Amino acid sequence: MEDEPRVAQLIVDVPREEGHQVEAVLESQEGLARLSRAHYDLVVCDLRMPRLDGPAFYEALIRAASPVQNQLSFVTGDTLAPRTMQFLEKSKLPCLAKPFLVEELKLAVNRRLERSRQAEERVLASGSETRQSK
Amino acid sequence: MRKKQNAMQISVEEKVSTVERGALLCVADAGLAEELTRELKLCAHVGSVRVATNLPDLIERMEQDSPYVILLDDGVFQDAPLSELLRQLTRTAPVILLASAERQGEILRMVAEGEVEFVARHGDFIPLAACLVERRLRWALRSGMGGGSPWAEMPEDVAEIFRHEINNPLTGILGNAELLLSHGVRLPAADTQRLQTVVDLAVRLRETIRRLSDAWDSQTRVPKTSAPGSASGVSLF
Repeated sequence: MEDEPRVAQLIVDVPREEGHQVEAVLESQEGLARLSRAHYDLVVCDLRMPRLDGPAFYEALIRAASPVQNQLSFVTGDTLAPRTMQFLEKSKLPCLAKPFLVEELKLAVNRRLERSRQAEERVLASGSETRQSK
Repeated sequence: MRKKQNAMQISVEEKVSTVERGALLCVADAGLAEELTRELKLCAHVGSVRVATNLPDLIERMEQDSPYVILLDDGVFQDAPLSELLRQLTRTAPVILLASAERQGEILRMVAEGEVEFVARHGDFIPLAACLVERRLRWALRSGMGGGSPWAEMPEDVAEIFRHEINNPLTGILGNAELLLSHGVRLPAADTQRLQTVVDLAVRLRETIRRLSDAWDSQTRVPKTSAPGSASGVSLF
């Protein structure tokens, strides 16, 4: 989710070249709509978006109890804005500062996906243990 | 001597003064003071230049003149605890410290915070010291306040727009040039070199912006306790 089309295209291209399936939306409202229809392993969201910005988008995910709230990562061109700093500090969500190197974006995406995969495995393992104990 | 300086409390209140504000040199050596004054008079943005020859004299002149910048020669205090003295002086004005190169390690943090600058007393150091004094005076005149850097006076929303509007386009420039290079597109060697130049310059610009942002942040904010990271590359993935 990135409102600047050319930056969005870059954020799509880099993980796509790594073999990931990637979609982009230029508006966070559209992002919310897509999340309600399909499963995504990772959402990369620009913090500064028109209308529904990153923090507001995160709040919307929490209100909707969407599991994506734990698979969310941000990018921003301004890590020094007080509201950005407060939000990141409070939410503990990862954030990559623009402008980033291609390698930094690859690393960030792969790490976040790995964490999501591990979390998913833990959930599956605990589910399996519960069934066995019954 | 040490005890006396430790106990020294410098408190200069802002006051309206008819005295022209400018630079205050605290230099023990009369010849050096004269050379510095002469060099400063050649600069464009210098107002008054006053000289103190010892610490009590410096304190008295600080109270009278409220200088925009203090140039402090470490010859006037020798073994005094440097960081404590500088901390007290910088409550009034930024300090340019003139000292032997061995002392530079003692003030790294204060230099990073932007209130102190260092000139090693080695070789032809007088023009450099004068340039730094002039720069501080220029900033002070521009901001109409102390000798802080100009970006310290930049309204926060302007600074945000500045960062946002540079960092976003730079993301596209840097990323796309890097992608093209990584694809190994069949370009003539000269064009590949040009593309590499785009990447190198974009990276250089990125680092410059981050350094400026960090400097601006350190001068305009209260110290952060657990901020998510500095401007220089927050990446908590």
